[in-house]
Amino acid sequence: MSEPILEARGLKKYYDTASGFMDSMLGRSNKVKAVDDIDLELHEGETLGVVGESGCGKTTLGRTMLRLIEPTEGSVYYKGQDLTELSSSELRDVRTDIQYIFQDPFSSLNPRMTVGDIIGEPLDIHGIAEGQERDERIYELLETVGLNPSHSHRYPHEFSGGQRQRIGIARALAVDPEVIICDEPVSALDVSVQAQILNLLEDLQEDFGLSYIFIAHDLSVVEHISDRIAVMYLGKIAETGTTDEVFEPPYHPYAEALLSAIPEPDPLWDGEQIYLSGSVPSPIDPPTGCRFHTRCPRVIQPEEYNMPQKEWRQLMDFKQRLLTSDSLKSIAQVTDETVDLDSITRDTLDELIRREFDLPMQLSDMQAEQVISQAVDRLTEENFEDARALVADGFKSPCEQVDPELQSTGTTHRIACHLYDDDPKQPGATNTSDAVADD
Amino acid sequence: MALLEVEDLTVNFYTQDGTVNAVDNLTYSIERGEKFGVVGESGAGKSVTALSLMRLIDSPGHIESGEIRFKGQDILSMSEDEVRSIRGNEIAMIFQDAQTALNPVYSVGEQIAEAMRHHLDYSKSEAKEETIDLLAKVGIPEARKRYSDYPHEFSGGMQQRAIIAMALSCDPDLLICDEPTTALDVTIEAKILEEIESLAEEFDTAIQLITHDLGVIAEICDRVMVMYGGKPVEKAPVEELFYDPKHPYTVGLMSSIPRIGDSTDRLQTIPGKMPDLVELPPGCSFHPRCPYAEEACTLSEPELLDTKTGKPASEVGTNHSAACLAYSGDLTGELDYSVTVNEDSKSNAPASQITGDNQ
Ligand code: SF4
Ligand code: SF4
Repeated sequence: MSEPILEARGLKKYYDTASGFMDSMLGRSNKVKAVDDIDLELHEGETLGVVGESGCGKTTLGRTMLRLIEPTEGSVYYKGQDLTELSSSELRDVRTDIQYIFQDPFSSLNPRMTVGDIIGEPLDIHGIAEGQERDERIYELLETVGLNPSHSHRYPHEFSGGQRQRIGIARALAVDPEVIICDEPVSALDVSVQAQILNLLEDLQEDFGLSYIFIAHDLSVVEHISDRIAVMYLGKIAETGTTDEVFEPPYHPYAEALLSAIPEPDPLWDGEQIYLSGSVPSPIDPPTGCRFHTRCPRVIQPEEYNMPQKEWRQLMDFKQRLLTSDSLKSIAQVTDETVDLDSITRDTLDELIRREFDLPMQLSDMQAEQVISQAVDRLTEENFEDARALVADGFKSPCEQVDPELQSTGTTHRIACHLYDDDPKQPGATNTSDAVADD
Repeated sequence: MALLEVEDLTVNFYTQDGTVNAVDNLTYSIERGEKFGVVGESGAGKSVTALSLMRLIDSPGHIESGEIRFKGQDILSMSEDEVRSIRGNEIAMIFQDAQTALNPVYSVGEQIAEAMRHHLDYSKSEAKEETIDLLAKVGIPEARKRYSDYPHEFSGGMQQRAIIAMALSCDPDLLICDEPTTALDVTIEAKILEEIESLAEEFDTAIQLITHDLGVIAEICDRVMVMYGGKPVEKAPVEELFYDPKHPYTVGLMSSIPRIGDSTDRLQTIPGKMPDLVELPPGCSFHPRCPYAEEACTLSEPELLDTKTGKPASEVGTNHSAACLAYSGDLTGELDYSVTVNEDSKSNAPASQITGDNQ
């Protein structure tokens, strides 16, 4: 493939949330790892979709690539030139080539500017056109995006959401860019209007040879518009490939869950939904190893165990809960007030814990059963420390230990997950359909 | 008698720009245990219907006329006290924005328990135990511990679950959900929808689900009403609506959503924008955007007709109705679109695809 037109290498954006003197004195650096070591390539004329749920870092990524936000580390190359090295005036020149479209194009603009001035502003800033020529260019741009040139004297509030987004697009087009980073450009729009804007973006891409980075949370929209897709989770890329590759197996377990969760507009659709444990962890202190391991339905069992995947997932949930709690109240499901946790018998506690985590009274794996039953012994004595040590040591997934790298599962398809490690000892490396059957 | 019967409901908002006819002559009914969907885009009047049911329309809004009968009793002619005893008790509501529904200064558990004591006459400790039970049921882990957490200590998804728990706490007969998952991430959305559905089943609660998302409708609802410009334009059982839509607006809406696995480059669109409710187009309000519009459409306003017989739709006998002149014989042309239902290899479910001269 040709040289990418825009490329990120080892891009990082950390925010410091250390809240003051005490924190910094104690060396508590609360770094939010919003974007953590990302490589990304955009090729000429293509649309690269970046998709993920809130907090995954996709918007920070988009803004960092254009240095609307300064990256903490890493480089962004535009046609081979490193943007992170440029002075602010050099950067300004490059911005005629790379533009940004926001979800709400006017949130940052003066509401007293007319539409003509909004579109004309970049022409003024970059000294592209003035006078008669400037006006003509504005009319032409309005027409290009499907608006009436006579509207250039109106104010933004006179326009509907879809028309406003068209104005935002006209403003981005004013400087005749090569690349546009579109950040949730249609997510605030009604379905019928959303389709109009998506079509417009595709037409413009064809007419002007544009390349897009299209950031969105809506998978069906991303699938529709993208040639390639990168799926993000907690600041990292979990999977990337052509649209077809990402939407078909092999999957990254997160991408798979995401796909299964889309509500299909077909009442008879009965695909299996994959539910994830817990919620997205904080990016301040992301999970060790694979960041998805706290929720992954396929989280890998240690070699010495052999139990149904669901049981293993529940054990991992139990472990996570126990590691962060110091009262029985938070690990045992007590819905009956007659149970007194202070004087509870071992057997009752055992039952309540297994009920809370949906575990069988006897685990399928004898070795694992021993670990949990010893942990319950300790818990009955309210010896949390030893109980924690037992499960921390006994229920240890390889996924928690090593951060999986993006590895190729095809020429253009890459997945960051240990299931696809070449090491044949890992379950699932050779036969991924096994893992599917377990869910 | 249906659980809820709305008849000829008209709601106006008196604004500086003029009278906004938010809901116009709306009639529908919901049976016990039924899951009824209301779908439409912004300005369609979806949320106004929900607020009217709870009699929560405030000035400058005004319920102009109509009847809303709940178990046969007209909500609109009840005293404020009577309405209050129904609200939250027999009819509960889940809004999009969980934050506004929870009081930030009380713990989540207390709020739910308080509602239960108020409506169901529980003792303090009974209410607490029931609440913990319910929190666990809607999927809040560590329910007993989280009982005393404050709303801000809950994530968005957890708050929405707490709202569901609160809504279900008094075992309502009707649950109104207004865009209940729109603010949530898709993996959380899937779980919450699943919970709403299974809890409603368990408690035999009827649902009125209001959303712009056809995917959510397809997943949950038995019967659907499509609204446009304050009016219902089509009513049908969910499968008929998706596989055999009868109103041009429904057809346009269905074909403008991007569908996974569909490789066509361009989406079909509905040209133009939503109408201004102050100044609705004359005749059929959809005519400026409708590919099949004729002169007749600008002159007479179509009423909801039984699409089979062409007779005025009735709440009892009509299965599928649409408000388009094509069904009264006043259109000279035909609604020239076709729906092909393909067997989707991945899900083994039919996936509909609509083609026509919508472009
Ligand atoms: S590395 Fe392990 S935890 Fe991470 S996605 Fe793969 S299987 Fe799941
Ligand atoms: S009445 Fe006319 S304009 Fe209205 S939906 Fe039918 S064909 Fe279209």
